[in-house]
Amino acid sequence: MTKTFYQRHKKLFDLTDGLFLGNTVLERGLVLAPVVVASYNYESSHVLGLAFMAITFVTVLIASFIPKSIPYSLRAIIYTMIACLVFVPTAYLLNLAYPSSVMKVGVFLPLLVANSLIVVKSESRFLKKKKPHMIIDLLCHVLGFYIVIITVGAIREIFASGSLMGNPIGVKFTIPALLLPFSGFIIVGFLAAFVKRINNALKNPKPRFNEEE
Amino acid sequence: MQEFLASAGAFFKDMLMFSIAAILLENTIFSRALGTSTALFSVRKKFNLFTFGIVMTTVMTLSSLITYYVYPLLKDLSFKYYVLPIVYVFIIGAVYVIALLITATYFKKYKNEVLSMIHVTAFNCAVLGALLLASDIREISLGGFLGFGIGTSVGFTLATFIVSLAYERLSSEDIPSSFRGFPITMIYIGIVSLAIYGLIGHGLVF
Repeated sequence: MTKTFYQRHKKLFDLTDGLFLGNTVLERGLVLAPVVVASYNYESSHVLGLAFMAITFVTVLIASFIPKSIPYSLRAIIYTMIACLVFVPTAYLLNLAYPSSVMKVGVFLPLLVANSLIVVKSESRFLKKKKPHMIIDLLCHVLGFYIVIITVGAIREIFASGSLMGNPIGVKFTIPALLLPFSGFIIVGFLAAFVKRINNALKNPKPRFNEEE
Repeated sequence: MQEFLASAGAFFKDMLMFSIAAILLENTIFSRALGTSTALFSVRKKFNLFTFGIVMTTVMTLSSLITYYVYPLLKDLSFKYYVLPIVYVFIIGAVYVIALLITATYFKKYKNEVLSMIHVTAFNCAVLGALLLASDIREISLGGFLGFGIGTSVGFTLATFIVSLAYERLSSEDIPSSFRGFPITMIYIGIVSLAIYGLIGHGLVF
C-alpha cells in the first residue's frame, strides 16, 4: 500500500505539530481569552502575539534548568514567577513601541503570565523533551499562537471596521458586532473546525478507489 | 450598635452587588473568556462541579482578602502595572500552598479529588484576572472586593455547569466530525455569550 504524504513526512509533522495540526488555540483549546476577547484588530493581536511569544519562550527555556527534585507544586509557582519577571521588560518594550495598544489590551497582557503553556504544558510536554527538540517544539507552539491571533484579529478588523492595520480597504458592509467576545468564540470555533477537518483528512485518509480493489 | 449594623449592612450590600455583577454582567467565561480552557478541562475530566466551585471560591476569597490589604501599598507606584502580576502571583501561590497543606492534613478522605482541583483552580486566568480587574475598580470596599471574587468563582462554576450540560451531546456522533467536540463547544459558548449579552440589556449594531 502506498504511503500518504502525511505518513511519509510524519516525523516532520510531529516536530512542527504546534504550528498548525496541534495548534495551542485551535486544536488544544488553550490560551483562549486573548484571542476571543482582546484580538479585535491587527495591532492588538500583534502586541498580544509578540508578548505571548516572548513571555512563553523565555519562561519555558529558563524553567528547563529548574531541578525536578523541587516538588511540582512549588515548580508551578516558580514558573509563573519567572513569567512575571519576563513580563516586565516585555511589557516595557511593547509600551514603548505600541503605547496605545498596550493600554487597550488591558488585563489580557499581564494575564499571559498564567497561560496554560507555562503552567500546564511546560511540565506535561516541553520539559519531557531534549533541549534542541524542546526549543523547536516551543517555537512552533508560540508561532502557531501568533498566526492564530493575527488571523482572528485581521478577520475581525476587516469585517467589523472595514480596515486592515488601520487602513480602510473599501469594505462596503461591516458587522461591528464581530468586535464583541461572542463573535470571538464563534470565529475560533469555525477555525478550529477547519483545523480538525485537515487533521482528519491527513490522519485518516479515505482509501483511493484502486486501493480498495 | 446602630453604627455597627449600618456598616455591616453596607458591607453585605456591596458584597451582593459586586457578586451579582461578577456573575452576570462580567461573567468570567461568557464576557471575558477567562479560564475557558480550565472550564473545558474540568468538563472533560468530569470533576464534581459543586466541590470544584467550593474549592475555587475558597482560593478566590482568600486571595481577594489578602489582595485588598496589599493593593493600597502598590496603587500609587508609577510602575504598578509591571509589579502587580508578580505580587498577585505570590499571593495566589501562598494561598495555593496553604490550601494544599490544609487539604492534605485535614481532608484526607477527599484528598485525591480536591488536590487535583486546587492545582487546576489556583493558577488559571480567572483567578489572576479577577484580582487584576477588581484592583482597577476605583474606591472599592472590602465587601465589594470579596463580592467580586466570590461572584467570579460562582459565575465561573455556573458557566462550567452550562457547558457541561451540553458537552456530551456536542461530542456525540450526531455532530459532523469536523465540528465535534471543541469547535462546536466554542460556537455554543459564543451563542450563550450572545444570549447573556442581550439578557443584560445590550443591543447589537449591525
